[in-house]
Amino acid sequence: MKIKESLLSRRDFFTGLIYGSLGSVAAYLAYPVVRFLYYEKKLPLPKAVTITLADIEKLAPNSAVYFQYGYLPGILVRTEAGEVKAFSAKCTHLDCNVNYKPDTKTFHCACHDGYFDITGKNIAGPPPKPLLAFSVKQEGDVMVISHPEEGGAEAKKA
Amino acid sequence: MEEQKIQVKKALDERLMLGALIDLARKKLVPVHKHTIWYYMGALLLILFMIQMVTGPILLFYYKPTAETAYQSVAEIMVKLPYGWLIRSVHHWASNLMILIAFVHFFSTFLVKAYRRPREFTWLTGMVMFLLVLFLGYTGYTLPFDERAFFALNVGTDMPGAIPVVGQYVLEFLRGGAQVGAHTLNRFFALHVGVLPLALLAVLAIHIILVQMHGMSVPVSIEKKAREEKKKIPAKPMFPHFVWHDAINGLVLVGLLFTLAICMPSELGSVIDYLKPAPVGVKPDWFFLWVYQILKWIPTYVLGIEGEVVGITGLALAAVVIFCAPFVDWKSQRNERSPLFTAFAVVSLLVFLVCTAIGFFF
Repeated sequence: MKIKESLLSRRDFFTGLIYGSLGSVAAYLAYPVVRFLYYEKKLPLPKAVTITLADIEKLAPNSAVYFQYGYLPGILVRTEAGEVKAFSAKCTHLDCNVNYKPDTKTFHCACHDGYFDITGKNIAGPPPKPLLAFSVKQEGDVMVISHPEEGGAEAKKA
Repeated sequence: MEEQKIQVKKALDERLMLGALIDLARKKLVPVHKHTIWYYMGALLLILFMIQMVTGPILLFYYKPTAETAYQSVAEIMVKLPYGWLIRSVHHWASNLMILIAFVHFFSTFLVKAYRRPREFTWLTGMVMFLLVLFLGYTGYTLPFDERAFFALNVGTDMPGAIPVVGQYVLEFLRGGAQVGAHTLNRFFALHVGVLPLALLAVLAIHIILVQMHGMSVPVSIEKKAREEKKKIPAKPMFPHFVWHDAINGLVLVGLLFTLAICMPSELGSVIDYLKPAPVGVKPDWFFLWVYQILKWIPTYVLGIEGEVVGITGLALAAVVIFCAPFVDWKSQRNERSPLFTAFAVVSLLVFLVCTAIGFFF
């Protein structure tokens, strides 16, 4: 069958061809640049960090201390009952570091006045989610602190 | 849809006067004769400069300009970051091609005496840009801060030390002290990414405006022939003819650039060891091989003066004469043939080619 009238004029066809090839050349050139610029270093989080019981003994009840968990800042609390809890110190609102307030037994984020209770639950202010809780387990004379997603499973096996 | 497109076009045109720009390019006539090919070099240089202005800042996203971190960050760009090797290699090869084409542009305009009235300032701005491009190539070569860079820094900053009177000040200014060290890298970094590109951009603007105002220079011989035959030199409008040529040349150039970058990625030498002797056969980048070869040939003492001083003063004098060509080449200025300057240009070209070749192969 022969079409009498073409759907596309010769000019339109070649214009499309030129823009199409220019576009694909631009895409070819842009791809490496975008990949290069958007490279994000995925720093591996450690499977677990350990703190000796002796160090924890030094910590007064109802007080907290910061520790490093890979690139995350962590906060370790010793409750009045002597229980040890560990959280990521990053506020779930906008990533500021939270502070432990012994008088109210809450975590406070000073950036936008957010509050979390001693279990890490967001109780006041803008934070949308509870603090990320690390799992804490006693193994011999050390406390093993591990990330619930990154290292939790492996740490339990070990 | 079509109507809206026209409206947008009209609105933009009213504000940006793009139409006037195209009209200008349509009206601008480019002479067509046997030397027309040399008119293409400027556009190629402009394309390469634009590539450098894009790839350079991209590399800056990861390059860390301190003596402790520079080497490691370049190594990271080359092996760790996705396509880092490609972007650095394109930057490297574009710089090499830019210098190569700058040499072609320089020698061709010199040989056809394009500096004749009224283009003296076009020539001067061109010469300034030529020096800036060479200096950009040299400073860029040192930024990876590897062993090659270290010796290039030592030799390159030591050479101005041979200039009488001010030499020592220039040397210490460039090095940021008496010795090449961490301060030197910071200075070269500031020059390479700040001072030199901005200077180049400013002078480039003047150069391009002057070229547009005066139009292309026609060699004396062609002008004379046209006068004798009482014919007009044929010419074609810049748009679309020469824009089209430039686009095709540019495509070939970009193809060549990527082929070189992919087949021969830029290298990274070994880590600097301040206590290690210079490696055997250490040489400068190709575009300074001719200087290296000349300095190697000059005897230790010439007429009781240190050879290094003689060589550098001689080269500087030759550069000054070339710089001032429009003001000392009287014959060309009167639109006559100027065999003396033709000979000077040919000798310069031969010295450059022969010394570069000898420096490269021996």
